[in-house]
Amino acid sequence: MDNTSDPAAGFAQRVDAMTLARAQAGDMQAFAALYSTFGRPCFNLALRILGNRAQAEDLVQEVFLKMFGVIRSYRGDAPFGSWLKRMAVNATIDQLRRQRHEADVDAEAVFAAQPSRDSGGAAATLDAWSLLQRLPPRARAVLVLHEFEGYTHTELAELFGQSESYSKSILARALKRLNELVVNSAEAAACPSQN
Amino acid sequence: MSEPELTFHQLAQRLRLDELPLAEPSAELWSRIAAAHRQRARRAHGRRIAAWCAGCGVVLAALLGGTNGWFGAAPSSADVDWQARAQALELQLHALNSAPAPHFDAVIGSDTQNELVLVDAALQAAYDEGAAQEHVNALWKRRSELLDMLVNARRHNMEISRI
Repeated sequence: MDNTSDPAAGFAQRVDAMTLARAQAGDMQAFAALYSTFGRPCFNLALRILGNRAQAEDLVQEVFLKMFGVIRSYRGDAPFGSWLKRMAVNATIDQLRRQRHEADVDAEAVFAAQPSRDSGGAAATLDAWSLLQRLPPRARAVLVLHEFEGYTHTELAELFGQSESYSKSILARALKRLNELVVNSAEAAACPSQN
Repeated sequence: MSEPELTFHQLAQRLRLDELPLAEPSAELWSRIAAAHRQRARRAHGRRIAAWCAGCGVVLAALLGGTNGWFGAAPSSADVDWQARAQALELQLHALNSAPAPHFDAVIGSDTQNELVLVDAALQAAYDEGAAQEHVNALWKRRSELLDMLVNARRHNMEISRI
């Protein structure tokens, strides 16, 4: 389910101590090695939440540049991938805040800012990616972080600077909307003449 | 017809979320990041150099401010840079030696030069052993005095020869 937690591909990949030490000494080749390990999971996390390749790439650049600047402060208390993932998630949430797609206050406001759209009719394919993109960015962020990245509501509350009930409410609304989209799509597929 | 609401895991199964493809960032992204990093590093280096120069300026200003007395009052023995003075005298002596002086006092010259050789050896030993600065200063002072004697003797003989 959680593609990004795949040890062979995600943030759970291990970094050898030598590469880490070289990166902490400012070695560009070591930075390149870290990018080749974590660039992809970082990009996918950002892409799933932001829904836009260019923005996701900008965010990866921002995260890696920041990481290069602060890597000396990494003490190895957590796996390097978790440390970097935290940085990427924070940067993504900051990006959502900058975009101000919707009010921060409550779930109603989040969903009111992007009303449910038609799934596209019978011809529309029910692929996960397009459904995710039909959620408001903040709802998508909560869903991706909770369901794909394993964040708890307590952690999400801290990330968004809101209460736990806020992220629970957003998640419930997101699932409800996904359900609606699935049902609409199934109905449209069953009655193609109506489209 | 209304379907029962699905849980996320049911939705995930139905939508095959586990097959959500992992996208690849563009191939140029790393070169973009590396270029931006180098640019930042260059800027940071420039700022460090500027800060270093500013620091040097402050130190220099403090030194000049603190040594105004050098230009107003006669320096005490401790304040004199005997090493610099010895080197200046050596240049003077070298210039004088290149001029013809047939009546140079060979005895004074020889004794002083012998002591100069000994002082040079002592200085070399002092540096090799990491001797105290006071000891090194004393040797430079003596070397300076000896060179002064040689310069004066040379000048005196030149004057006599002119007469």
